[in-house]
Amino acid sequence: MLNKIAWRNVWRNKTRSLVIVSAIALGLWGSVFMISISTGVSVARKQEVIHSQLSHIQIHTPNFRSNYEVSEYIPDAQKIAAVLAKDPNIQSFTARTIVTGMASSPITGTGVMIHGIDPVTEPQVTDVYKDVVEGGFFAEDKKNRAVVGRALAKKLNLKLNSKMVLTLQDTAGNLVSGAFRISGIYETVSTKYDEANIYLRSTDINILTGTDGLVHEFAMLLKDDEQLELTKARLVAAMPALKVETWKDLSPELRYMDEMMDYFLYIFVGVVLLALAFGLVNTMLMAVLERVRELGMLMAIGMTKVRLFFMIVLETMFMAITGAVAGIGFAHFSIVYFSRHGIDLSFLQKGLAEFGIGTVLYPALEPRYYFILAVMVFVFSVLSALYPALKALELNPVQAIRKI
Amino acid sequence: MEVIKATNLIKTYTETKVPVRALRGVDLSVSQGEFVAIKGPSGSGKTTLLNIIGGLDHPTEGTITVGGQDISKLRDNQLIDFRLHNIGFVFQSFNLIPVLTAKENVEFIMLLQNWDEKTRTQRTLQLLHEVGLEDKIDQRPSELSGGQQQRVAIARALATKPKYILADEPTANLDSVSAGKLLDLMAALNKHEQMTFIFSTHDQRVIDRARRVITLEDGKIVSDVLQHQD
Repeated sequence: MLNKIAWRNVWRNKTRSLVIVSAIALGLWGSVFMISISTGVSVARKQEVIHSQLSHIQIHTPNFRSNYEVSEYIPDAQKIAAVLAKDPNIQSFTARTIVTGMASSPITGTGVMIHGIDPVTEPQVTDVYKDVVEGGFFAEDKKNRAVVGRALAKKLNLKLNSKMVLTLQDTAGNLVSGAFRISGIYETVSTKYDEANIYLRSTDINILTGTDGLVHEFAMLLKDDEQLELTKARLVAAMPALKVETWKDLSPELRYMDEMMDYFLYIFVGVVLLALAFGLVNTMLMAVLERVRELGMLMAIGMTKVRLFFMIVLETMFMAITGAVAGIGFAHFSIVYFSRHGIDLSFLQKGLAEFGIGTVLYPALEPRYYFILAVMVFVFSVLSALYPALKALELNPVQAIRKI
Repeated sequence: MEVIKATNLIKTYTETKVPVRALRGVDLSVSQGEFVAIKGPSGSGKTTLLNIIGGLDHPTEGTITVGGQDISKLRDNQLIDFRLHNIGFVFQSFNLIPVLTAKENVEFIMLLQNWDEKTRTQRTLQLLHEVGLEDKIDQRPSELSGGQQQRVAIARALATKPKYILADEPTANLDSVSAGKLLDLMAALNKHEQMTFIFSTHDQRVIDRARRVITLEDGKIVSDVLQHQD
């Protein structure tokens, strides 16, 4: 009965209740949708980096990533490959030869990172082949072919079939050069990446480095990325002399972005709910003060203060929950719709590319966030109810009944 | 049998700048099943006396014993419990919960006493039938006339079969036909259920129907008259 009274009391003053319910609904819809966009950006950026660059886990020698020396190759690469092939959670892996060098064209030169890859296994780990916009990704079986980023091609004034010269250090410490013909131009969402990374066949680059089968990096994709740390631990145990790093280790800023989403949600929704709580307190206070005589009558006929307190709390919660259900429900439908159709921000293409983000955003929100939101709304509504409910408790039945 | 005994009741309101002495030493004894009207001009202390008898207010001095229990010493929570189990209230206005139907209003008091649903429903329908509102059970107070609302209030006051019904000017907002019907109803209930009825009123129609009339003036009982036995 208390529930019934509280629910009906909410709708005694429909306009007033609808105003606060709408405010809660709009506030939550806006904040949840904003968070879903941020999460979508974060997820897209994460997936982009994992699938175009980092993969889930990489293996190097302990010092390789601090100096990128050609001499920091992985010894016994065949044995390591055998371990990776047997791991139950590794979906695919590839071996790379990575050296730093200078790319030169007739007009200029620039420092680049040269990725010597296996054209068969590399596409099983990264999607860089999908980013090829001109030519192909080592489709033709010809030697000394290179795939460069659009930004680098522009900088060096290179076109398909243009030649460039790569200068690098071999394993003996000598500077060596080789001419490569452009067979493909790729374009990722990150112009910075495109300007600094070149792909070659590892067999071609190893002719220059002077060591056949030189491997600096193993990169792999997992079947279940929830088992990222578990898989890492297994690999660390199997190859203690090497450095096994997950994408979180390789790109700490991505990890922080991922982890920050939780705090972002708490702060953002918290601020919105705090503002709404003031509206809710005001509405409930008005509802209590205009019902002084009625509340006095309820106490007079034997309603305990505890029940009275809960009635006011319930009224507040019903109002907050109605707004929250509407707001979160609407936000959910918006997220589902736009996660399928995307939000086209192509007019911001250049700016977004700088951040390595595509022009179509797909909002996303993990189901657990809905639970967190529900808990936050519950807590805020209870807190908002306290002051009006305590005000109601201060009433003395005789004085309350006398009030006109 | 004496069920209500007030001894030297004094009530002084100190919330105002000048203290107001609403009761100035009231001695009163009421027996079970009496039908008592307390009359007097506005400000004579009728409502204050009724509030103290009903455990809504504490006397400043003196004692009030209801059913053998000294309620002047009870704390607020104990008084709520006392009221719930012993007193049926009928106020002048704002008697009912506006968002509940007539049936739910009557049922509400039984719910506070944790009666089971079947008994509640039976008792509610029986009471609404007795007060002649069996066809209005699903109407809300705003859909009922003033007289009908007061009849629902009486049904609610009687719901848990309290020993005492206290009514503060129950006919003040009613026309003469409605007031007459209400008084008939209360007189019949008093006769059949042996409940003790005490009214505060300055309505002559109520005074004429009461068997005992107590007159208050300036917070003191100036007369206590047994009118008739029927």
